Amino acid sequence: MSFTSWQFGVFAAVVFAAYYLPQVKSFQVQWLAFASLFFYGYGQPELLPLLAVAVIGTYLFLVLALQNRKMWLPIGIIFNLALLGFFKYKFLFIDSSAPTGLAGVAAVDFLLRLPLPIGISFFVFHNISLLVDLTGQKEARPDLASVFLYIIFFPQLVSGPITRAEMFMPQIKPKYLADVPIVEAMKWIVTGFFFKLYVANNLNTMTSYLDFPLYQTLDPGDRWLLVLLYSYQIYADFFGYSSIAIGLGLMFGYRLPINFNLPYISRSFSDFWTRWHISLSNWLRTYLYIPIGGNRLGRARTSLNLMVVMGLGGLWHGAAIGYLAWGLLHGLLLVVERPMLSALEALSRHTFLGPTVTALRVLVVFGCVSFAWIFFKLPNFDHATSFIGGMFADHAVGHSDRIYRSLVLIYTLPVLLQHLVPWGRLETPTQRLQPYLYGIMAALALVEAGADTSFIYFQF
Amino acid sequence: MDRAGTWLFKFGATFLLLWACCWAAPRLFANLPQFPPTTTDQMQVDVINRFFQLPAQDVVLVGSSLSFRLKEQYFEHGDVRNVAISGGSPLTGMAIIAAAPLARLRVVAVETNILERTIDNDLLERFKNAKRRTDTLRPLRSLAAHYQGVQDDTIIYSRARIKAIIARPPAPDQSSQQVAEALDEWNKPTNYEAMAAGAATLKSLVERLEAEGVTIFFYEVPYPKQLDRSVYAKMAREALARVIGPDDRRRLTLNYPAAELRWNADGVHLDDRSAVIFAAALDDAVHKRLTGHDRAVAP
Repeated sequence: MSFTSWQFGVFAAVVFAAYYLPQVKSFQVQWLAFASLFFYGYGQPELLPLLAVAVIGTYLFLVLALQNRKMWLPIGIIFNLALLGFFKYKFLFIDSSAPTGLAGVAAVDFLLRLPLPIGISFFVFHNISLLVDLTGQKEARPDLASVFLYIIFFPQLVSGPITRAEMFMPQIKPKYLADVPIVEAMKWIVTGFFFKLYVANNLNTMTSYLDFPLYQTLDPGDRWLLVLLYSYQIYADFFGYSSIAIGLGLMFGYRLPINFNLPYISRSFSDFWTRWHISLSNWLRTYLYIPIGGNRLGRARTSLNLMVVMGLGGLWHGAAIGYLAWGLLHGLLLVVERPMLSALEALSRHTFLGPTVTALRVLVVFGCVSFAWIFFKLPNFDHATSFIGGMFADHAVGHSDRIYRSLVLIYTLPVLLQHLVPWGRLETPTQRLQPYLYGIMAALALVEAGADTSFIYFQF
Repeated sequence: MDRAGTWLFKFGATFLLLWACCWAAPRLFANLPQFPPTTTDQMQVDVINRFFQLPAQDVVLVGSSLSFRLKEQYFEHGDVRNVAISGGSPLTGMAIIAAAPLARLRVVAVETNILERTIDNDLLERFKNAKRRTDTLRPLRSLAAHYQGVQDDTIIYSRARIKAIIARPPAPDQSSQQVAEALDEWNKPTNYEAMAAGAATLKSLVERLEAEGVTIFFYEVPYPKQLDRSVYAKMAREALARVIGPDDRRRLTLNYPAAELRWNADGVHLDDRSAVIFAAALDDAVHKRLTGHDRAVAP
């Protein structure tokens, strides 16, 4: 069930309306968990048992690890990584559409043929966070319904933000309608729908030319333009989803972590990863980068750790060489910039040169990040390299008339304005205008919506 | 009302007001600027969408990419909706129109050049039972379309621009090489059975629409001379004649200066000026029939 479907609107309204009824007050957690199961099963009912196995299995390991962390925590983590590995990467080795038996055993064949469970990358990370955080802090054993809610809370179930257990679990307590920050929640939800429907979906009609084989009809100039547009699109798409999730979370009394902080004005690649998909960066840093040594073991080992973490982060998105290449490219950029960061920061603080240097740094980071998205959009490595080759060709080939610059402007403008206007300083002067601006955004999201497409991060 | 209530009221009122304006605008003003489709796969869908979303017109064209080039603005009477599908067939357009409830059409003009292409069932299923509706205004997109129209007048064809196109001399013939290359292919024995089947389907669709009171006309988009005499072109005419007869009253007599026609580099599709000339002839022929001035062959 997509956030942008009318079915989801009805679903959210019903769940919200019942949630604060006095009769539901004593089992709000169970109600939300049940609603989340319905939300998940609506699209893929055959995968509900898998979700149940993942949650109940994790709960079992949590109970055991609370008694003996040293023994059961690694097993619990391996259990979850095995789930992720099996369902996410099995398609590298099998052809699930093959008419004949794959393994010869009916039950195994059934598992092998199951589609990629939506959101598995996200709920597996929730599971691991639950195991590590609660056993590390020697918390009291939570009840099963709370664990269910943490892992499958529907606003964050399929595409995050990846909420750490130590942040979410303390929030599980009775909720009251009077405590809901309704205006803040509405702002998040309207912003999310606006960025998804108005920006991302409309840009998608242009960036669909990046797909194979359509990109072969593009001139080099349009290839460059579309790479930049995809950069805006993927941001608007994922930021939009995260914003809706945060707004919905607030409606039900839960504050989910902020996932984006103007990533395209980052001055360095390490700065970018504190602004882009922040919940994933935090997760990888907390549960992977620091445990394998972080930057405590010398320069060479730090570089290796960065490459490993970013490579695995890339593969987390999907089982394709392109995702690995995307992750490794970011790892390489982080390694390369690391020795130069102090000097660059000093230059940026220079009175005279500072603004120019900062602007150049922002442009370089944005350019490199956008270039790297090619591997994300075209996870088939051959397609990606062929596309890149065409970016540097010296001949025109194609259908440039379909990419109208006026449309490019009106659909990228919100991202540009969001990043370049100092909204923080305008907060007070624009206070009175805000309800009208959000009203306009909501109307534009409705009447100017581009053709419906699923959220890009749903596939992960 | 508390602060949150005031905020929500202002927000909701702004939203409703803007949405209501966008809903009302296309119902109050015709011919608001529209953007052409921006992806190839949208093109076919967009053609049919326009038929269902824009105000109904008296005359509907169905055909292939040959007729797709005949822009609605080329027709001086201004009452044409072009449902020709680039890369598709007239049969698909006819079938979608025939399956639509409450179509209330007056005239369908059918291009008869390409008959061997069958009905696109995916497209038909998508629009089966679709109803005409008036979309809401997309204010920023319309603004951009207007701007684009001013910048790039391939989108908006004013009468002045069309006159200017006609006033310029015919372009030099650039298609002879492609025509010569295409001729071999066009002279190969074609799949006559497919053409005959297409003609039979066309006949049944025509009868179905005529039973609902729709007037049907047939027309052929001109080819360069060599292709016009090719096996392919002759077989298509023969397949149609076998089904509806050689002198069917539905055939339109088109008068245009054939010597002035030119084709794009592909040798098959009319260039802009020729499309304007041919559209004028088609427009004239249809309205002569409708007003009874073309009594010699009037239905």
